[in-house]
Amino acid sequence: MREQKTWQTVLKRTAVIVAAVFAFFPIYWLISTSFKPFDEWANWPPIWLTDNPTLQNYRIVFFPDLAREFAAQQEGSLDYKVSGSAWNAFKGSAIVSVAATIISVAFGTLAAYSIVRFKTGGKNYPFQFLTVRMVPPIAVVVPMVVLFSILKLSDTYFGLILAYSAFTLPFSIWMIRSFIDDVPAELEGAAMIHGMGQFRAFLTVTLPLVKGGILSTALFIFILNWSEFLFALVLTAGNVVTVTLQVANYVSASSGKLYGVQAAMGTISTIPVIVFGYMIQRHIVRGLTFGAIKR
Amino acid sequence: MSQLSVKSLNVSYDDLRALVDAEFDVEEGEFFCIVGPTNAGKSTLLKTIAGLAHPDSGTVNLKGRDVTRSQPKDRNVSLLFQNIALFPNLTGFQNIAFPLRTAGVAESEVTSRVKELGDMLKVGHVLDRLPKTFSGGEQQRVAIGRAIAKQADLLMLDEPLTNLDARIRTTLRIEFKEIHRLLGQTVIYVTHDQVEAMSMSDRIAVLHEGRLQQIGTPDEIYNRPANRFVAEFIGQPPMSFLNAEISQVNGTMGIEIGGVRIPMPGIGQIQGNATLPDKLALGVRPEAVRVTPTQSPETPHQAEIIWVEHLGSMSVLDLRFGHETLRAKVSPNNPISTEQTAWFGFEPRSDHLLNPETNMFFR
Repeated sequence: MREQKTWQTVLKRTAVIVAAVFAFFPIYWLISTSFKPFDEWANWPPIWLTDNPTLQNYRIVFFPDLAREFAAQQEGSLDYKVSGSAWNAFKGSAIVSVAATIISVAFGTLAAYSIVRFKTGGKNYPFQFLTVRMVPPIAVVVPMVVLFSILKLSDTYFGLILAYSAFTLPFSIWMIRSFIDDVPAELEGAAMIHGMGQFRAFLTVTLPLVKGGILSTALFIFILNWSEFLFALVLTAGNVVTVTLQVANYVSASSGKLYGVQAAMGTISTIPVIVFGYMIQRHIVRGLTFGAIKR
Repeated sequence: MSQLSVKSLNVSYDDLRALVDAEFDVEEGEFFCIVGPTNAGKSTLLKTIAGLAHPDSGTVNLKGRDVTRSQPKDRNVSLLFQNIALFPNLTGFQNIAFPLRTAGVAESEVTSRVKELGDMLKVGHVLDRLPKTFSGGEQQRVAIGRAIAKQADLLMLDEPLTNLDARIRTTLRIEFKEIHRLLGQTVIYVTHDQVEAMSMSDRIAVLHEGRLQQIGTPDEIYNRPANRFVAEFIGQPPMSFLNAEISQVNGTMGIEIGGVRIPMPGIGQIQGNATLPDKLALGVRPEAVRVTPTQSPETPHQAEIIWVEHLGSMSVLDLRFGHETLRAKVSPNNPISTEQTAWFGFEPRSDHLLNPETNMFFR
């Protein structure tokens, strides 16, 4: 009996470790490559941990001119021809992702509230929203390009924000709906009987209770926006640059294949997401309504 | 002028008719009970009066003012929800203060009023804590505090004792009556427990499948039920119904039940008002049945005892004679409860004669 239990534990832990290795390997490889000198980026056999760590890749990300001068002095190094610094890309991604997240979550909250409390659109309405996401984005990209150029929205922050908001709204509605659904209607009813209008009851009673859920949704939507590539690629032309576009810029006909620089840029671009996640983690708790209602 | 007047109110959810032609008045200061089984439409009725549910047709008048289309906040009613619904992110104090603060009462007055209510409801010690730390009784008392903090024209309580254990239930039942006496407020009290309804109310409305069955004082509801549902729902153990036929016993009018003939002079009076069908049913309250081990003038008929239930303060016997089953309530030390056969008798009441086709009593 006891031996069987030990074996079960060993098996379970092994499975967890295998899963963890599988999940974390790309992250390890990303960070490891970001510190490798250029001649080790694509070696065979692979170099797991470099013996010659360098910050050169990061220098290229932030100070391409400086890096170019430095590279010229180094024997046998690549000639870096990278268009622009990454600063512009971080600025672009920050503007677009933050604005689109706020719009998506704000409208998503209102729509979700309406669906939950007033049964707006009937039973299948929330599902109809999700079907928007069942169309592969690549299928709608061409009409979007045409539409955006007619509306003169191509290559503008506003245009990209609009596109991102539209495509993340179904997720916002779907997620926030489930949080609002958890708040008993009686709580708002109590607020309304004790002197509040419907909307004020929503703002003062329901909203504080679903705050954690809305912030979790915001984090999820922010990650979607931050890592989006396809729309950014086809709806911009150099004026608006996002992080994902900049990463792609490091592999091109003119600049060669700067895998290490890509890895450095990738590593840096995870930081805002981690910081945002850390900031809101204490709010990501469900079960706030515990003690309000006997079920 | 009535405090509340409800006229031909109809409420439906999708295909379900939750309330059908509800019509009643509640007088000022009255303690009015609405009683009925689960899903009778009781909560819907309260929510409609409060403005949280919307009627398809009909009107709700409060103090002569038509509020059918008014917002809940403009009706000056108060509702204690069945599931309590305290704001989980507010302390006990803030919960009770909520109606006062939204009404813009000065903060000093809010503080003294909440303290006063906290003392009255014996929850002073939990006021600075969150509801999740309260016991069931404390949650209910704080919720009552919130419901009565502001003097409303109408206080509605939706099954306030259902979720509590029996001991607290008895205590709170007395306290509700006490609060009602102190405040003199008009109260609508909803319950599925007929004991609560009988013991607390000035008047009772019996609701079943969205339709009001009868409205009356506890005495009227108990002694002159309008139909079979009310008769069976009110009273514990419930009224028995026996199949009966009209017959003549030695020249006097009477009925025959399971081969037993019982004289019933009152029948002639009913026949003056209505044509009686051949098949009738007679309702008999268990406490109206007398049972003895031997035959006596009061217990002339013999029956078999098929079931005995000892309940401490009383014993309930199921008597079988012919094809009929009659329930009787006897004192627990009655030796009859160990016998196989017994003798019984009762005075049949002509106002408990029921038409089995319509399930209505002849009056």
